[in-house]
Amino acid sequence: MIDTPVIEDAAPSTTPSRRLRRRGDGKLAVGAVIVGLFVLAALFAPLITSGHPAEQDLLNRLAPPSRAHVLGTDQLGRDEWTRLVYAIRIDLRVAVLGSLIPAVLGSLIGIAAGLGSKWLDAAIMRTSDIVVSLPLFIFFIALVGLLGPGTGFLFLGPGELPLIIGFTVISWVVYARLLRSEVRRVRSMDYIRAARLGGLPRRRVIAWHIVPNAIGQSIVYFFVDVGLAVVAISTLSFLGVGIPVGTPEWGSMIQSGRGVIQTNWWLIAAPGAAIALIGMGLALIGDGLDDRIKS
Amino acid sequence: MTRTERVIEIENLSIAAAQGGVTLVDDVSLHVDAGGCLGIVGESGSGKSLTLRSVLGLLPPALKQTRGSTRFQRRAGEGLRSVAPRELRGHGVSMIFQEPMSSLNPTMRIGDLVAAGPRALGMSRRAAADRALQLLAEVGVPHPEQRARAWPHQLSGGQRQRVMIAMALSVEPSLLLCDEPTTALDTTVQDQILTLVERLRAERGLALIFVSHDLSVISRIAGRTAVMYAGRIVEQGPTHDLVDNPNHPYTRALIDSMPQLHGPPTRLKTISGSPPTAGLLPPGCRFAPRCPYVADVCLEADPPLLAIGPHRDTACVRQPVTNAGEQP
Amino acid sequence: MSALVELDDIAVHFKVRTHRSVLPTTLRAVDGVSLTVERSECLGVVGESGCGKSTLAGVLVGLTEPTAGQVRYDGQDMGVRRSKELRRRIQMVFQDPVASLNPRRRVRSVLAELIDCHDLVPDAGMTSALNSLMEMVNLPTRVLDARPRELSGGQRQRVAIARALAVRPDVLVADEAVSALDVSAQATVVNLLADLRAELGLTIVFISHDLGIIRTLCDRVAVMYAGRVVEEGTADTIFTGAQHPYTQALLRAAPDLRRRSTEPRPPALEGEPSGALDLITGCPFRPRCPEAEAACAKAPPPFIHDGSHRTACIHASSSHRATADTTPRN
Repeated sequence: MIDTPVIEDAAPSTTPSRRLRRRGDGKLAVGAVIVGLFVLAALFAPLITSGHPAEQDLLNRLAPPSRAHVLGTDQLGRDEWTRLVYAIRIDLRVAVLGSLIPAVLGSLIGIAAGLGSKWLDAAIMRTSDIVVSLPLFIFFIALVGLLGPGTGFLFLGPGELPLIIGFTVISWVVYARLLRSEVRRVRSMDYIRAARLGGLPRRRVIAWHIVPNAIGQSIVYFFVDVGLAVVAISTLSFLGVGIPVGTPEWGSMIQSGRGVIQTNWWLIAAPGAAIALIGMGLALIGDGLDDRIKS
Repeated sequence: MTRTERVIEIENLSIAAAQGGVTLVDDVSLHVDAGGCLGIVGESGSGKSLTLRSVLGLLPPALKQTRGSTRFQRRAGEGLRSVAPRELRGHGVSMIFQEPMSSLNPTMRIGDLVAAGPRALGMSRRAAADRALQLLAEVGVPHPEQRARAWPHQLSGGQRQRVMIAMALSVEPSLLLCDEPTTALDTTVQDQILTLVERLRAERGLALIFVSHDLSVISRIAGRTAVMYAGRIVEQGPTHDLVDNPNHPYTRALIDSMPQLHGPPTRLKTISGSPPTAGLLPPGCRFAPRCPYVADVCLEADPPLLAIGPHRDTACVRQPVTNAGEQP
Repeated sequence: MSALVELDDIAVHFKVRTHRSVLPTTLRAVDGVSLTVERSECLGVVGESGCGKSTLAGVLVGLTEPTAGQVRYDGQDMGVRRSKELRRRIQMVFQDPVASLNPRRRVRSVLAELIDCHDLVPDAGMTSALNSLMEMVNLPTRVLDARPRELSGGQRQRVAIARALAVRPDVLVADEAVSALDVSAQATVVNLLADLRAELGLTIVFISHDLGIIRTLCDRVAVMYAGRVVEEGTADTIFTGAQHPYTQALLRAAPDLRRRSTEPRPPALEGEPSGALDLITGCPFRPRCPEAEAACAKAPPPFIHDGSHRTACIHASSSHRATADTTPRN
């Protein structure tokens, strides 16, 4: 028998107002809270920390967590919590810029490829093939090494600009390919044909009808990409490329905590957890947006 | 339908969303005799496909069957026995779908696809391959030996549908479930497939449940027809009787809104409004807000499906309508 | 005869690759089609998949460039690149109610944008212009503020018709415009098209595989097979006295509510419609035709005219034969 218990045929539980809650809202909210907390911590860093990430207390090195030092101190007696929070500023700044610039650039290139002539499309796609075929990490290390850390640029600290340039050179390709295929998909939709038939100028069809329907996936990917960039920045800094040693940055913090992993494991665990958490928050936002676009 | 041996009886089937409990199919009972064909007709969202899919327990994960029992006769003379939907898969019941391409594994050759059924029944590899060729020939695939080595993408839509029917037959079912199998096909190919299904029903004594949105397709193939609206059967009976003398206002409106092929062209009659959204059903009869004959009593309770004549059931308080030409 | 739109010997050929050959072969999606549409007439174009009816729709509205032939509007060649003004005259309603509306835009903005683009009404008159468009397609004005996903299939299709009407066209090309709809929504849209024709004098080219709807809506019918028109005539002659074996087979194959399943049925037409590749010589219907003979393989059959009725078949009943085209065109 397949008689399952009879569920009370309850009154319609999905009222119209509840229907407005769309799929992905939960993920989006959790992700936004996580990322929001990081951003707030970065903005109000002086208020929630000692305010001096570089201040050394050589008499109080490798102190365990205490009331004065929530996460203890490192080998130079610097407050780990303060460094952890100040590192958000650097890691997020570089990651966001290192994703936003290639996102905008790559999207424009992708739109051009999707709408432009056969030749333009071929030229862009072959260029992107070349970039994709590069051994990425070696290329990145070589590029960043070649450019050197420099002394900073505008509001950027030393070592940040080369990282952003490196990210831009590599990741525009993803956005270009994504936008190209999305533009091609949308371009063949009936509503675009209808807009053309209606006599709308080409520029308007592109800006109002094609692009808004094509960028969804790249916005989703942007959030994931920022998370990946955070991981890449810390990895490179861990390897000694990128952000100079001494600057509060999660990767270099892990690198310097490596020697004392037996006794002061939290010096590695804390920045590691920070990387994982921000990555998760960003991925949740991306995932939530994805659900929302698809629903 | 000369034999009256029941092949399947489904009673009081209800299907609801797993979360929220919105009922999508409400208290549907149906049965098919050996060699008979039951047509289920309805518009999208009427629950006709869900009803069909639930026979084999093929509901989407977000839905579940909340009520209902199935009794099935596996072999002639064996008698009806209660079964769970899963037990029927590959054992007595097969199903064919609207889109054959997504139902055929693209990495398997046609011959192997069809031979999988006989293999599962315990045949040797060679015997199964031979059986596959027989089946392909039976469903009218030209040059079966040659076609057995082809891949699904190399076939036309009509050929794929024939292969899917051969696969369905390969487990020697006594009941074939058809979910809009001709909707995606061209008119002349639809005609071929309907002819084929009709022939299989007659030759093999196969019982059929044929779901379609198109009453004219149903009237071609089905001896008995159930009309579904908003998750319920609103009317059922022998197809031609039902088409000639529709009792339920929805059935009548459905027929009147269909364009006619013969005779002088006439303006189509329309049904005002649109079908209710599941979970937001109107009080009383589900068709009441669109019904030209609506009365106060219709808003009080959803009328049950009641017998109004030999083999005829209608869920309408205004029954029976004897005068077919009556105007609202 | 006041032909509003004339298609003159239109051909659309594509290069395609097949399994059989490394070299691309030519798919004759549309091959030598000539049709005229008169003002306020409803011409039905019927055929199965691959017969070229949708490609022909693309040529009519100017979205598909013909390989050869001319589209004339009011006697004037529309040219390869149509002016905005000429393009406005012939609008289209597409098949898929989901793909035919921009999911991110409200109905109001889509319609207003088009009206704006052609300066059809002064800014102050926009609201009343939009309201009257909604009235024309029998939709409540609150639909203007809806997004497509909030509408049913039938409503979307009526919005698509409103969008086409927004630029005040003379000709509406409906490409399988009701095929994706449920029966009741279908009836509503079919009636709407009939009303628009009666009220606005709209000319309609209705492309469909559904013979019943063609019968309900159209005055004249062209039957297409493999890129060619095989028969054309008034709806009455096509539905009651079809000459071409394909038209006859199509009418027999169409499911009919009133036909008893106990009635003996003629055998189903064998084979499947295919696009016209270069592989078939002579009559494109020959491989499936029950009446095919050696003569059919020689050349595409010329039209046999009988008044306004024409049939591209050498078997077209000789009693009806009036004048045979001398040029084996079409």
